[in-house]
Amino acid sequence: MGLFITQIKAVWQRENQLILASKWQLSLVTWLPLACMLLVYAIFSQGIPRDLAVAVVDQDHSRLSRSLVRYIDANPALAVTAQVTNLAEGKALMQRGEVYAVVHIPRDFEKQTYLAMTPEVSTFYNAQYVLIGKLVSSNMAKTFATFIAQIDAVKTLASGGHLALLKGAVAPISTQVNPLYNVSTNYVPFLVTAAVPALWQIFVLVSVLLAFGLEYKNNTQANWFQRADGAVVSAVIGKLLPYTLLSVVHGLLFLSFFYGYLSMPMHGNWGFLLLILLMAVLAGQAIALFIFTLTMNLTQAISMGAAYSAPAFAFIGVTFPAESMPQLAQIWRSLLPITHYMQLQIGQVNYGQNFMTLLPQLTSLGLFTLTFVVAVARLKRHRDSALLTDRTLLTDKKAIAAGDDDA
Amino acid sequence: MHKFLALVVFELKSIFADRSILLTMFGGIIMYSILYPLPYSQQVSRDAEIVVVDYDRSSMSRELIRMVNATPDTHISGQVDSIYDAEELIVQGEIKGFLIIPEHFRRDLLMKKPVTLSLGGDASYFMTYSTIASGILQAGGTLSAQIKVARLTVDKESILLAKQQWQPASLNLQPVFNQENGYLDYVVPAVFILILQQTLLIVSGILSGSQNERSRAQEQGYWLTAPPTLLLLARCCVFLSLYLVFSLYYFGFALDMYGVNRLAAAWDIVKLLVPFLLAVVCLGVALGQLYNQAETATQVILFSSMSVLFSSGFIWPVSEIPTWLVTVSQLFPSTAAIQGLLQLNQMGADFEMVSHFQTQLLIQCVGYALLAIILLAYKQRKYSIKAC
Repeated sequence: MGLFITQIKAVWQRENQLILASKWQLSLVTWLPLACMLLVYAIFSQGIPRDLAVAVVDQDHSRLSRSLVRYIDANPALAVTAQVTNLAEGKALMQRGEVYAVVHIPRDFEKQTYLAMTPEVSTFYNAQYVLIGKLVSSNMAKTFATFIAQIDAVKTLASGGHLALLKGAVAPISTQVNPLYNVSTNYVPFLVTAAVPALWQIFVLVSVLLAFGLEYKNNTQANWFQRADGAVVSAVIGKLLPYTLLSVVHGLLFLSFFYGYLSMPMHGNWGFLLLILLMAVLAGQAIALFIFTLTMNLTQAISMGAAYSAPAFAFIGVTFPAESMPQLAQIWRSLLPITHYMQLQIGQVNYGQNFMTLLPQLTSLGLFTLTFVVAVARLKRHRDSALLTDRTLLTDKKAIAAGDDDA
Repeated sequence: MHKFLALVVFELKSIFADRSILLTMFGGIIMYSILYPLPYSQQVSRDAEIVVVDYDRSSMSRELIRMVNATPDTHISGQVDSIYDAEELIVQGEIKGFLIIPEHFRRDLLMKKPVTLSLGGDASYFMTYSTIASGILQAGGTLSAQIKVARLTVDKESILLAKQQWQPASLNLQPVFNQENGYLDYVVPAVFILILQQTLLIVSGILSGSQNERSRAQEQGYWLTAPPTLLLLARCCVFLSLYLVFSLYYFGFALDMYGVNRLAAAWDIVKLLVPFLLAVVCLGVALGQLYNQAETATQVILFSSMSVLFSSGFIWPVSEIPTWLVTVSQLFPSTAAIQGLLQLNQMGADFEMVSHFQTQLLIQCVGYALLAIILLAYKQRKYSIKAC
């Protein structure tokens, strides 16, 4: 056991020196991941979109139609930025990306409303940008509902309705919608807290791929194994350890940025979160090492790691629900550590899940570490076969030398 | 001319001799074209699981439950006795929301008192949340309308009139360019453009990076002896032809296979695509001179992908992105290409409407080409002197 620890310590020291000697590797395990994460946060930092541009085609020009336009503009999420004379102009504005929706108020809108002829206001919204389009359409629906409720109330009162019964007459059933765990439907707690871990996983993977790949690229693996007295397991552990610690620190930093600095609500337990981070890092490192042993070539391994981790965000199931994904996507997402991590993070932060509820996903993360065994075995086999060829080369040389002597 | 052709041959040989480049280019292009669209093959999310807390247990509340279940958006997986139980089910991950029908729901409606339904939706998942909200608002709205029609009919009016008059004006919300709000149509066309840019930046980066490695090992390769302008021209030619083939696969075959809108004429797409690809190659060559190692290229591009995608304006409104980031994002060819090609191909804009994107891409071409030539010349001088 003591020997095991000395071996690990020797490799750990060697690794730290290697990191400090390489500017790129040092950036990769220190400021670079944090800078990339902050960049993603900066893009979405507004949180709740405001003043999304809407064009209006008002063919009525009445008091009531102008009032509707004011209602739309008063909605904080919407802003009437253009008044155009026909729908074709509105469509062109939408195609140019200058407005996200066109509202059409028909001729005789006011007259028909008061004659109870139920005129129809049309809103064409750009659904190519689904996320923005949904925001525009739901806010438009909300604004319009308030607008007609007001007209309705005036009409009911005018036709002799009772003030006390007014609300029940205008809207018999109203629905109060409560967004749980993200009260203001802000995009930072929703999207950024999922995108940042996906980015984090990329760094977890790449730092390992780079560390191991550089040994083989620079042909220094003999020296590396030598530090661990030839014990592959200690060599791997000692080499991984600095990255494990630094990746967990990065995890803690982004979590404390969200739930400390930005003071977003956190209902979970920081101890559990630390455990989740650690398990996610180990799972990611195990996969990374496995990917590396598939090629034993640095640049190719990074390309494969990129293919594995870059699309991961789409599979997490935060933007598009996992339940609606096809079977193949379900399988692929379960093979990504970050999927399990994300469910655990949401479980802790939003729901404050207890340990027993965490257990299934934690076990899944644990299963990933089994690939360590495969990876270590492959590293060992690769080393042994290399040694064998070295030895045969050596004996060949000796034989040749001996032959020369004979001559 | 002969010299140029020789350079093209050299470039082709270097590309096809490097397994990392082949893996990223052919493997990546095909792999990403399958992987990125995979989660979205059903286009929309339906049947979000919810439970009902029914405090009324009347004929009217059962009618509402039936209506909620009938919408494609929600699926009621059961009834529970309290909000506490419902929240517990959310924590367990079994449901994504719950509907509360208040006590005296039926009685209040008959007495013309207003009633309020309560809906709790797990906003950790926005899309599911909005699906649930739309399903229940729709069901509640329909029942509300039925009640109003029934009342009007009782009061005095004919049922036909009542059906028209239950509200003073109606709103018709019409999604355009992507009629079913499909996620595949939303994500795929834009991501494809990003994939083309990122893989191209990676492969040209690996090419330059490994040539830099060899230069440092005192190797006087063709990349150090050829005139920089000619070298850039040869590289542009090679990558442009390769990537035009990949673009054909993406914009022709793949978009068609996924059933995504393709409204633009092929020639209009080419008019944006060629400046885009050329700008990317030139940027790639310029960036490539900065990599000391071949593997740095993949990493730099990989780490920046998410920010480049999110700042390109199709996920998050440009007006909401900090100004300095918008300025930075204009430097990537993908930003103009995504916006231009989406408007052209998905929204059916005329080419005149997007011609300013073409101008922007052409300016990038010239700028990055100059930068690439300067950096190539600098590298050549640096390593030739050493060799002397």
